[in-house]
Formats: sequence, C-alpha cells, structure tokens
Amino acid sequence: MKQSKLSSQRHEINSLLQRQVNQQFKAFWCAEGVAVGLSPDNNNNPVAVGSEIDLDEGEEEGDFDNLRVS
Amino acid sequence: MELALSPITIFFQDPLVEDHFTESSEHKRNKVRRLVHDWVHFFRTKNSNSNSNKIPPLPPQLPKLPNLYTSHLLDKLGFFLSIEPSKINNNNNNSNNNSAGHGLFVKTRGLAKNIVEKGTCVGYFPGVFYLKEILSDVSNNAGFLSSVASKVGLGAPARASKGSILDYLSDDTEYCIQGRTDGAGILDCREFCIGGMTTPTKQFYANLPNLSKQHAYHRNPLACGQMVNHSTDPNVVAVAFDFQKSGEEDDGRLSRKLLRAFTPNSYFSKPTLLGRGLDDEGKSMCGVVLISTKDLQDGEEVSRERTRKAVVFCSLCCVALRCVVARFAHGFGSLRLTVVYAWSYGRFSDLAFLLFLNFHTTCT
Repeated sequence: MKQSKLSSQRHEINSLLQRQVNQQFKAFWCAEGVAVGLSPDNNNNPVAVGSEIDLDEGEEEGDFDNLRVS
Repeated sequence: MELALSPITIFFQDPLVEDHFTESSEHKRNKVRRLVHDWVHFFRTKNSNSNSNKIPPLPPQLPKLPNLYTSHLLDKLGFFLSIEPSKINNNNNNSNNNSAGHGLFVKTRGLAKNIVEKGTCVGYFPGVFYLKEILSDVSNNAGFLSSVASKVGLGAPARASKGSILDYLSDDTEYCIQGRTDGAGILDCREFCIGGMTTPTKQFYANLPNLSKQHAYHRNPLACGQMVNHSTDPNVVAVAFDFQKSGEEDDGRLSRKLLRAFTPNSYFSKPTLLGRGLDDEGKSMCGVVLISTKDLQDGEEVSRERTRKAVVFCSLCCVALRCVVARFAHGFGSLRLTVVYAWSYGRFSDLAFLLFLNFHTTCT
C-alpha cells in the first residue's frame, strides 16, 4: 500500500516535471534556430526547425543506443 | 539588460553572429551546433592540478556562443546558469583556502521580480546512467567481490579487479557520482567535472568487451548540475526524473528529436526485459534534475543539501551486499536461499535473475 502510494506520487511529480522539461527543450531548440538567423516567429512551430536535423542512417527515432561523442 | 560579467558569461557578449550573414545556411547550422556542443562539454577538459587547494582554472578554450542564442534562451526561460567561483565556505577543508571551488549561479532576466520561482527545473545532471540491474550483476563485479571477500578473510588474496563496475564507481574523488533516491541506479557525472577524472576510462571500458559503451551526446546548456555545491541552507533538491518518449502536447517525431538532442544522459547498458518495470513503457532515459525549493534571486548561488555522498555510499553498500548474497546463493545452488533473499529484500526482479542463475547452474 505504502509502496503504491509512493509510486503514484513519483508518477505525478514526473508528469509535472515533464511539461517543464518539454518547454525547456523547445526553448533550446528555438534558440539554436534563432542563432542561425531564423525568425523567432517561425521557431514557434518547432517542426520547422526540427526537420533540419536528420537521424543517422540505421538509427530509429528515439533510439539512444547509437549516440556517440563526435 | 546586460548580464554581469563572469568567467563563463563573458563570452556570451562576444558577437559571432556577424559571420552568419556571409556563410551558407548549412554551414551556419553546423557551426552553431558545434559551439553549443562545445559549450556543454567544456567540463571534459582535464586539469592535472585538481587535487591542489587552489580552485582549478576554467578551460581557456571556452566556446563562444552567439548573443542571439543566449538572449533568446533568456527570454524564453527567464533564467540561465553561470559557473563562477563559489561563495560557499568549505568548513571541512583544513587548509587556508576554504573555498568550495566553482559553484552554480542563477542569472535571471525577463521574469517578474527577476526571480526563479520555486518548483522550477533549474538544471540537469549529465552523464552515464548505471541501472541497478547492471550494478547487481555478479558477473560485472567479480573482481570487486574477490577483493571484498579477501578483506574480510574469505577467499584468496585480492587480485587486480579490472573490469569491476563497482570498483570503477567507487573512485569518486570529485564527488560527481549521483545516486537516484528511488534506487533505480547511479548517475556518473565525472566525465563532465572540472578537475577531470583520474580513472582510466578507456582501460575500464576495454576490460568490459561484452558491455556496450554509450556516451551522452547532448546540447543541453542547463546540464551542469554536477557543479552544484552543498550548503547548510540549500535552495534546490535533486529529484529522480524519467525522460519520456513523447510529451503530451508534442508531435511524436519532434519530441524524440528533442529528446535526442537535449537529453544529457545515456545508459551504460540498455535495460533488459527483467530490469524494465511494468510502468516504464514511455520511459526513454533515467535522469536526475535539480528543482528549486525556494525563489531564486538574480545572482544567487545554487546549493543543495549534504546528502548525496551518503545516498551514493548506501547505494553502493546495498549493491555490494546484494552481490555478495547473490554470489553465495549462486555458489551454493540453493533455491531456498535465493527465494528467501529475494523475498526479504522485496526484489522480485532479482528473484527472476537469481532463478535464472540457479537454472543456469543446474543445466551446466
């Protein structure tokens, strides 16, 4: 019972934090776009900026296994 | 509003944007990516004088970020992090220099009253995440168990324990290993620490040919949580956080790309089916973030409570104890002992692992 309550609280905190993290990641992404001369208005649609980065060959989206330090 | 000059923020003022008007767009993008990547990885620079009492100097080859990048980020987030000499006195240090080294400071702009409200995620811990299933795997820690057994009078004298993950993680002179309070594993931030890592990383990985080597590749400018000092009046707390595969309001493809670019962590080894919990369907990565517990003023130093070392020590002790018990259970081949051990610890994933171990022993 106590374990399930702790687990549910952890999920709740995680979901609340996830919104903040999403917003911050979008801000990072948009800032990179602005730095290369894109309009901040266009960066409100993150898809326009996000499409500029392609995944490596053979890498699935969201797959962290192929990440390497360049 | 201009930022106060500091060792890190000075280069924010350097205008590199003028070059962007003469270069191709692809070249510009690559250049900015390279700059941001260098910025978040400048902690990698090694410093051979890390054990001296002086504050290690910041790397001279700091990358220079464009003004537009930082100003846009400040407008969106309302704050940024700066690394400066800490104002916290290290009372445990008996030398003349009582400074705690470098610290993390909040620079605010654009927020009402120039504060960062409590409950804000102000930073991330970068590094490689070791899941508990990797730490408790007996085969990964055979050398460590041999040395422990010899120290308590059991077994043969200690041999060189190359390839032991616990040995590798116990060498934390810079206090940059972060334990998750929920027991999911340990985050190794040493690679991003100013002062450098003394452990021969390449040799360690070379001795573990069966384990995949994964590194974090990220461009997250707030991923400098390992620089936070400890104080008696903390204003942030480290919270276990799981990066999700897709956000509620994001397009799935974009969200995964954002995660790939800005998640500052990577797994040492992928979670197995046994290690992956039933509630971890949407989880892409384990991490630790810093949450403010008070309103942070402009220029205020971020500090946290002195619990990290104890948490990491207890985590390592628990893992070592479980490894020893698991090894005895494996050695005796006693299914009853295995079940009692798993039941007493409430570790049913361990139970499955140990049952497999016993089954494997029986069959071979």
